[in-house]
Amino acid sequence: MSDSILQSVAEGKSEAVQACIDAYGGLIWSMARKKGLTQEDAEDVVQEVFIDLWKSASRYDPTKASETAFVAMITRRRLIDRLRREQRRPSTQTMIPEVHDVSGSEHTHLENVVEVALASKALSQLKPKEQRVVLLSTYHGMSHGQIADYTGIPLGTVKTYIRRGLQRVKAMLDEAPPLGEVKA
Amino acid sequence: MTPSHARERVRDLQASRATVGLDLRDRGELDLLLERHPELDDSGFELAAAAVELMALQAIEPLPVGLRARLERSGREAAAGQPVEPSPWPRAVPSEVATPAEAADVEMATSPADHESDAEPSPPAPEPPSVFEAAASHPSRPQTLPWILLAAALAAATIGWLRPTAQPEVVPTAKRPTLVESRTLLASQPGSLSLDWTATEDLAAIGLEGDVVWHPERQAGFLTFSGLAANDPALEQYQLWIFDATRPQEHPIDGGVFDVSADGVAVIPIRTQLEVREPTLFAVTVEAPGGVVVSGRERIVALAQVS
Repeated sequence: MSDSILQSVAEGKSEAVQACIDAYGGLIWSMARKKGLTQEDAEDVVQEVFIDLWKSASRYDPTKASETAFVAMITRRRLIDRLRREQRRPSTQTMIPEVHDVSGSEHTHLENVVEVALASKALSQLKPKEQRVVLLSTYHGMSHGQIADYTGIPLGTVKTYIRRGLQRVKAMLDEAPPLGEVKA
Repeated sequence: MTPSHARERVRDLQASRATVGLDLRDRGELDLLLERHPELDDSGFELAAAAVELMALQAIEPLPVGLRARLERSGREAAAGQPVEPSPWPRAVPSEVATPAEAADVEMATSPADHESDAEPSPPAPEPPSVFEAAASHPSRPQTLPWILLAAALAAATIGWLRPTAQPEVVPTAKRPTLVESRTLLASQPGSLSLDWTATEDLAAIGLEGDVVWHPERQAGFLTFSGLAANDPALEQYQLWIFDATRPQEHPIDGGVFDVSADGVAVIPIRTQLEVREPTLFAVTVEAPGGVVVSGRERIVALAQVS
């Protein structure tokens, strides 16, 4: 089995650096921009995430998560930290337009990430209201309070929905055999 | 605190960490609880949240050229064993910086209910993948071909609608097809449904023509309209609903909101967050800006029924 990109980075293969940037740069950048960061802040976050990756590539375990999901998780940590540090969350104005953006955006090409399929399956088992709350929280980056204000759902219920939804996804990931990219 | 209470509290804190982060007090509490219950230490919620975000991500933008160059430099330094830090790197040039209006969009809400996101800034993010070391304590799971096949099938059947192509994260350099070209191509695929719109008596639908193209396997489709009244997005938007025989009829699948310009002609790609298993009816309503979770169905402008 060939090394993953991160494993190659950990082994000090110089070409792996370029491959890592090629493979995940756009993803990390897009996640940062999606959270409503300015270009400047988004660039900072992308740099921080890649430094994390350079430093800790050897700790990536392909039997625990796909590389893409791992990178996304590291990115989310940095983004959450950044948003908390700067005391802000994406406004509701940044939230809905994604749904109806019909301007012809690039495809994300993430359909071969196992966690994506499992998350989709898990979410499909939730009630629509719960799905909405989970997406507002994880994808749109809204705080629990913002979601409560936006949806009119009590704060405690919002927290319950988020935990229940993530628990459902987590359970599906836990039950799955070793995670990784689905090979075409 | 009983073990079950501790477990519940740890899960609550882990779910918050995965979505809004923890303040210093909560982080301290989580650390303390995990010291006492190390078996609960995992990053499953964070991975779950990442998976959901990946699932919902609709577009991947290419890296700005300047940023890419800086990343490549830091990567080379890291590969050479040199210390790498982000701060000395130049900032974006002014023309690349967000406008004041964009910056204003991300100001934090000040609702008192928003207390959990709140007061204390958290310390810098921890060293990244300790989570996977923790996750390593999970029982090892055999890697079986059937599961991979199942996962592949699942990915294709469940998620194919999100991303029709299979190349991992490569930004295409070829000219992308227009929406009209994509619609025509999809309509020509075997198994594709093509349904004409039926206009209602709503004033916005006078002269409405067009169709729905939907491909069940690809979970992709397009709406085509001519003669549909232009909307003011600040006041109202059109919203697509897809009724699915396998789901409660009072909860059709939200197909997203869209706008129609003054010429009344539009080709709209269908985007849903849920799998459409057995579509029975496509409906377009007029809703408040941003759309609604549940439509009051006061204004239905177009219907397309699957025969």
